[in-house]
Amino acid sequence: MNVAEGGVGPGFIEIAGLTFRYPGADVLAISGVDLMVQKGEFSCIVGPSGCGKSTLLTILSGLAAPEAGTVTIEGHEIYKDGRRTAEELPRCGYMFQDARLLPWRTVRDNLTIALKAADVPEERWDDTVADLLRMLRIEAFADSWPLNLSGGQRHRVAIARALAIEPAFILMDEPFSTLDEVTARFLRTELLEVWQRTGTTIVFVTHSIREAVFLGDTINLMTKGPGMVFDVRRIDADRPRAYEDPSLAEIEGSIVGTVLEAWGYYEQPTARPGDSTG
Amino acid sequence: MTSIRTTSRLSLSPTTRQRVLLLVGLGILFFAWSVGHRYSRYLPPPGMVLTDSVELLANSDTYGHILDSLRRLLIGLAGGFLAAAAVALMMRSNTWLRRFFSPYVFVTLTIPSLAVTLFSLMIFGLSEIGVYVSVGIIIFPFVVVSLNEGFANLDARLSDMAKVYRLGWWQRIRHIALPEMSPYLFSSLRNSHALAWKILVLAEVFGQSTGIGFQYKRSYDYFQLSQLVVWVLFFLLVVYAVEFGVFRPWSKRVFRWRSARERG
Repeated sequence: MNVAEGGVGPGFIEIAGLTFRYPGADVLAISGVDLMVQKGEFSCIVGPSGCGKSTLLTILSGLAAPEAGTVTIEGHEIYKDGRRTAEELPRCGYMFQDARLLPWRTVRDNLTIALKAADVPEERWDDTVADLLRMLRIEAFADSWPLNLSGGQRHRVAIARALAIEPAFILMDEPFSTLDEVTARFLRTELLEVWQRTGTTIVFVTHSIREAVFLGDTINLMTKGPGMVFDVRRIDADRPRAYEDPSLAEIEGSIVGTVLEAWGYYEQPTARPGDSTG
Repeated sequence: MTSIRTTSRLSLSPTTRQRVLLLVGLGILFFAWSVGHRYSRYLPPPGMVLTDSVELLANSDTYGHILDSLRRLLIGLAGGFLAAAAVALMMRSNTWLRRFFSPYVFVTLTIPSLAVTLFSLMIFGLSEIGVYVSVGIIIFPFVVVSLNEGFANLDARLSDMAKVYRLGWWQRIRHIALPEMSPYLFSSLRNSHALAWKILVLAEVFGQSTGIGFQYKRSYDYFQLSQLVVWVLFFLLVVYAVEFGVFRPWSKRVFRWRSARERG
């Protein structure tokens, strides 16, 4: 299933000229974003704070409508010239910065509530939940309250929930940024395992270049806000990758060189290049 | 229940200590009563109250009066609560309705309960409806205020999650809105329950020929102070029975996810 088609043919997600302004705001949040994601691809979006990378995800998930631009997902035109079309948005899983579980429902119920809302037939719930919890190594917590779990375990539940609904694609908005680094590393590796096993398409937003280089097939670099994608890098490094791999560090270095200019750090005389890596 | 070691020389668990203190408090009250009644012309001696209680408990009419009061309380409470919930929802749904209903909340909040009771008894006559209406009107504004506070504290992030995962309206109510609102629902239910009892007996004094309030009036009319004390005791017992028999276990169940961390 896990097909990274190398950027040929029509994309699974195609975004053209996407522009968004928050209600009542003078300035645009994003301005003319073009982006292409292939089916089964792990696509990262990297940009400085306030560049509108999270905004992009809220539009893709249907939480907000753009001011202008076109979005096509799986061949369905979802937004055309800034207007929502009648096409149904393919089902999407979403991971927020926080796990965002319902604290008053058990881990199992958190998943089945999403399964039910996604119209997954009830006879499949038990197996789906059991499989995912096992895959994410939290099967022992199926009947626990979320408040009884550690931060990392809660994020695992959130990953399970995003996968459970059999999504066409998964959107991730800096999901590991609130975790400690060791937990985050474990989860990145596990996320990659799950991604490779399920072949799902992931759009992953982060401010960390190192994280993007470790995770992604492609990295879309955004400008400062109002953001647009100004460079796309393909990361061809073999998987599984090691977080400290010198060749990844090299790729990271070259990207840092590019963004320093684009994000305007060279204009500040006090900035040292080494400080700006994610 | 695990006991926590403290530096106290008495090695009693906190719960036991609380119970002991409660008994000591009750003991002192009882002692003051048994001594004090001799110096008063009106206060009945404890023995007399005890005899009267036993007598009343043996009489099946007593339970009828208590049940009548309970029924009226339940109907008045349910009516007031439902009206308040409906109004709070409407006030939340649009600004025009919020402005429209604000004066009603303000007026019912400030008007003396005695006046409300007399008004509704005058309007509805001596039927039970007057009692329901007085109880309902008195608790109404407190519930509205509390629910409005709850609405204001709803977490928009959970609502985003619900939208992304396409939860239907009933799922949103059942799994998000109700659990999120339940602290406010509970506190307003408990407070209005306590308040409702006070209004109920008042309304019964004026307009009913059964119920605990009626018994107060009867004892007063015949100047039977001992009976009055007994009915006050019965009243306290019923209120505490509802609190400890219904509200405590219920809220313990609803909020069991919260203490999860402490239970580890």
